[in-house]
Amino acid sequence: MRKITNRGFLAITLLLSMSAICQEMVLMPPELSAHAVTRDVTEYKSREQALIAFIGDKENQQMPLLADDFEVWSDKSRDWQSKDDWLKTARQQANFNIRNLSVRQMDDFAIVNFLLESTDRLDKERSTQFVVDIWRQSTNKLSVRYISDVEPSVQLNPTDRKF
Amino acid sequence: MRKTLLSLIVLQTLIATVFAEENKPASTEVEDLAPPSNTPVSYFWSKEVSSAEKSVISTKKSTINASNINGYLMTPHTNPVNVMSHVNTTPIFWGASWYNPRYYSDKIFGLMHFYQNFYGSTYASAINEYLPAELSHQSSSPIIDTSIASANPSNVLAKICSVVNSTINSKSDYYPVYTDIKRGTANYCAYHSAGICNGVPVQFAFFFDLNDDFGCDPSSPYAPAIRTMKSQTSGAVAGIPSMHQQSQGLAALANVTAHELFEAVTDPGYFPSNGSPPYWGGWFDSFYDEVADKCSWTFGPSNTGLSPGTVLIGGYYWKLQGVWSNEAQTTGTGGYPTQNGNLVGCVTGS
Repeated sequence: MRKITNRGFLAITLLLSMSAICQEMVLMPPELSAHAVTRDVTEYKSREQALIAFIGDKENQQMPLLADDFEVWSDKSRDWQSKDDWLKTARQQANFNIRNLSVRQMDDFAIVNFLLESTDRLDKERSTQFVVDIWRQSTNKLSVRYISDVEPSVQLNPTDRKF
Repeated sequence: MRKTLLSLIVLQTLIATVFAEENKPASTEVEDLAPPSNTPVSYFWSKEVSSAEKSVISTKKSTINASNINGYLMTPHTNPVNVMSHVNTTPIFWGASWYNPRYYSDKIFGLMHFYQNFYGSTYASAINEYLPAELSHQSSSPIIDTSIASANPSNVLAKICSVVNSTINSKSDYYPVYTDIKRGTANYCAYHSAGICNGVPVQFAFFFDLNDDFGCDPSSPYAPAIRTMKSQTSGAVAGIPSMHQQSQGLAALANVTAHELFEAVTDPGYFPSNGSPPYWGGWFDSFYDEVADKCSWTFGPSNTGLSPGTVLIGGYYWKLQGVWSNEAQTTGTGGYPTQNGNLVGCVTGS
């Protein structure tokens, strides 16, 4: 093992001191951030909220935001669900909340993904789904929805409001 | 370092020139924008809401009634509520492009003018209902740093600490950091955040470069159209004769600047004295929406009777989004609708 010279010792001490000073400059990384989202995100979040309001209104059988050939695909089934079948399931849920919504626009389509939190009608069981919606922009109608359940481990930290 | 110092000296001189311009009477271009005196003050739908969507949304206005409105109202999350009644803003312009006059155009002058005159405007008074005392605001000289910028909150905080380390001493300090980074596919235009620098809590905000960025552009009638040859031409706010008040990039930054300033004031990061992790302790609703989130990209009747979203600050017109008012929502007066049309609590201080 090589012997550390006085000069080497001094250099190491200086480096360690510099490192300590640098670390002290920022004591705590920012754990909070709240985002001003884009126009697209605001517009499609509003549209998704309008859709939720329609779903919650059981007396209203018209769903002007859904395309005639609207279908839902999920990890629960090999086949797609029709509009009516899906509505029956969706109307068993309540207290919806949308988080972490993002939008990518591609020609006539907008691909919207978000986390959808809801509870059952008795407000006992809470669930979170990852949703991907394909909206046709020229008609403002939802064409396809893809759904998968999200594990509780990826529930959002309430301080992280990236929506 | 030498470049930074040189930029600061040049900037200070130019700012002095700009503020000297403030004392001059309004330019003819400003007067040309005035509408006929009989223009009614009324709510207009912003162009962001298409007519097809509007018709859909209008049928659902009754889905939120008095019994379930509470979740949509702002509530305090500490007692006494953690807000900033006094704010000292020090803007930081970070990125290699900020030494380039063709890039910064009127942005530094315009934003300084905006901050200098924000306090006392009727627009700023829109958030007084959330504060124990009327908001007082002052701004300090800007800092320009031409090193390579980053959008990461930790890096932004580190930059703030490195450039203002010796002067951070107050909970009232707020550091908006304007960068030359393009947004790309990020779904936000800006954010506000908080951290600790040398033991002192720091409130700050980050802004992307919004030049010709359609997703973050308010389509201001007081700026050139986006993605045109003239879009970044300096406007009158920089003391340059122009048919516009500001460049497109400045108009876009001003809109999100107002958004972040309102939220930093009404919901700053709260750092418990016992050393527990920080959290948001100010005003937000049960969906974690803060006062500006609820009225994002909506532009209400102006306090000058001009086009939607028009706000007069420091003698110049800006197109700025509204801010949420519990009072307007609960009384049903003075507010205009949110983008989904369900609520009517957005105000512009008029």
